[in-house]
Amino acid sequence: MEPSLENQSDASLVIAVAKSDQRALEEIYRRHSGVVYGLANRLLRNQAPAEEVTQEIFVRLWNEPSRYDPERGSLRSFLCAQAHSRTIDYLRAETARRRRHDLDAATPSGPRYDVEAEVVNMLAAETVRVVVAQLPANERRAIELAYFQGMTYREVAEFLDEPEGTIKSRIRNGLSTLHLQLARAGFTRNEVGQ
Amino acid sequence: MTHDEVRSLLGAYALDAVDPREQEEIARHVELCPSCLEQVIQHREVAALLALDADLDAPLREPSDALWASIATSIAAPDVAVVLPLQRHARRRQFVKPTYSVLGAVAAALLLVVVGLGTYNHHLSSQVHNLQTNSLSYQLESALAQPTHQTVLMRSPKGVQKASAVITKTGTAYFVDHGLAATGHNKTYQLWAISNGQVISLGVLGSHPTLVSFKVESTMSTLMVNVEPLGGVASPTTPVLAQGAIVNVA
Ligand SMILES: [Zn+2]
Repeated sequence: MEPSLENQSDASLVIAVAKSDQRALEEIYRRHSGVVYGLANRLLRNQAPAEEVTQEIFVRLWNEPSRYDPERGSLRSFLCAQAHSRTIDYLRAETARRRRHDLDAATPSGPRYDVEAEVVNMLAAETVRVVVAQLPANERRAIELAYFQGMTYREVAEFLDEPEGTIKSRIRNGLSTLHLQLARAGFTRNEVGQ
Repeated sequence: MTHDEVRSLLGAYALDAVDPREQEEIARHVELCPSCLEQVIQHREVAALLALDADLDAPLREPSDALWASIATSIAAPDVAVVLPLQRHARRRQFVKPTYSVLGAVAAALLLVVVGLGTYNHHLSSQVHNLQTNSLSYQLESALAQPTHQTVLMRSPKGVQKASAVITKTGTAYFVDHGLAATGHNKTYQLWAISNGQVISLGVLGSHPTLVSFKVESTMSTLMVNVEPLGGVASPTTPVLAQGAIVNVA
C-alpha cells in the first residue's frame, strides 16, 4: 500500500506535487476544487469558463508549486485568491466574448472532491453565513459587490453613490470584523490568518 | 502611495477590487512591508471562507466529472513514461454511480471512513453503508437548505470547534464531525444532552463518527460529546470534549 495521502497536510501535499506526484495534486483537487469552482462559477455564472479557471489554477499549481508559500496563509486561501483574480481578469477582459466550449460531459470521471471536505465545508459555509449576516448591511454590501460582482471599489462607490473612501473602509472594516468573528466561531488561525 | 494610503486599500486589494495601477503599486509595497503583508494574508483567508458560501445560489455546485480528466491530461508531461490510469486513484469512489449529486456521488469516501476500511473485501456491507450514508448526506443537505434549521457549534473547553449538530424543526438532528480523532480500541464517542437539569444519553456515535443522525427533544438545552467504553454507558464517566448550546427547539 502507498502511504495515505488523505491524512497529509495541504503543505506536504504541495511538496509532493513539487516532486511530480500526480496523486498529491489529485488529493488537493478533491479537497479544494469545490470551493475554487464555486467561487469562479458564482462570479461567471457559467460552467464552462468556471471550469477553465479551475483547471488553470490546478495546472498552474502543478507547474509552479513553489509559488505557494505556507507562511503566507492556507492553501485554500492561495487557490481562492488566484481563482478570484483569474476570474476577475476573465470578467473584465472578456465580458463581450462569452466563450462557450463545453467539455464533453460524457467523459468518464476522475476524482471528485471528497465528502468529508464537502461536509466540513458545508458547515463552515453555514458559520460563514451566520457571521456575514451579522455584519453591518453597508459593509456586507460593499464586500459582496467587490468580491462576488467583481467591481472595483471605485465602481462600488459609484454604484452606491458613496465616497470612495467610505467604500474602502467599509470593505476593510467588514473583512476585519469577519476575521474576528470567524476566529471566535472556532476557525483555526491557519484558516483565518493571524 | 504612503503606507497609510496602501493600508486603507488593502481590503479592496485583497478582493481584487483596485485598479491595475494601484494593484501594482500595492503589490510592491506589500512585498516590503511585513505588517501590510500580514493584513493581506488575513483578508484573503476571510475571502476564501466567503468563497465557501459562494455557490449557494449558483446553478451548478460542482465541476463536471470531466474536469479532473482534463487536468490530468494537461499535467501529463511527455517525458513521464507511465501516466497512471485514473481508475486506480478513483478507488474511493468505486461503489458510486456517476450520476449522483455532490454529496451522494462521493459518499463512498465517507463510507470508507465510517467503516474504517483499508481493504475492499467488504463490498456488500459497504454498499449498505453507502446507501445509508448517502441518504443521510441527502437528509443533511436538505436540512441545511431549510431556513428553520439550527446549527449548534460544539466546541472544546478551549473554544475550538470539534463538531456541529444541525437540528431541524421536527427535532431530527445530525451530528457532523469537525476533526475529532478516532478513539482508541474498545471505545466510542457518546452524545449527551442536558434535559430538565439531567444529563441524558442521546446514543453512541462510534469510534470515528462523521455523520450520525439523532433526535432532539424540546426540553434539551445543551449537547455534549465525550469518549466512553464501547457500547456506551448510562451516565458520563469521562470529561466532555466538546459541547454547544441549543437555542430554540420548536
Ligand atoms: Zn505597509
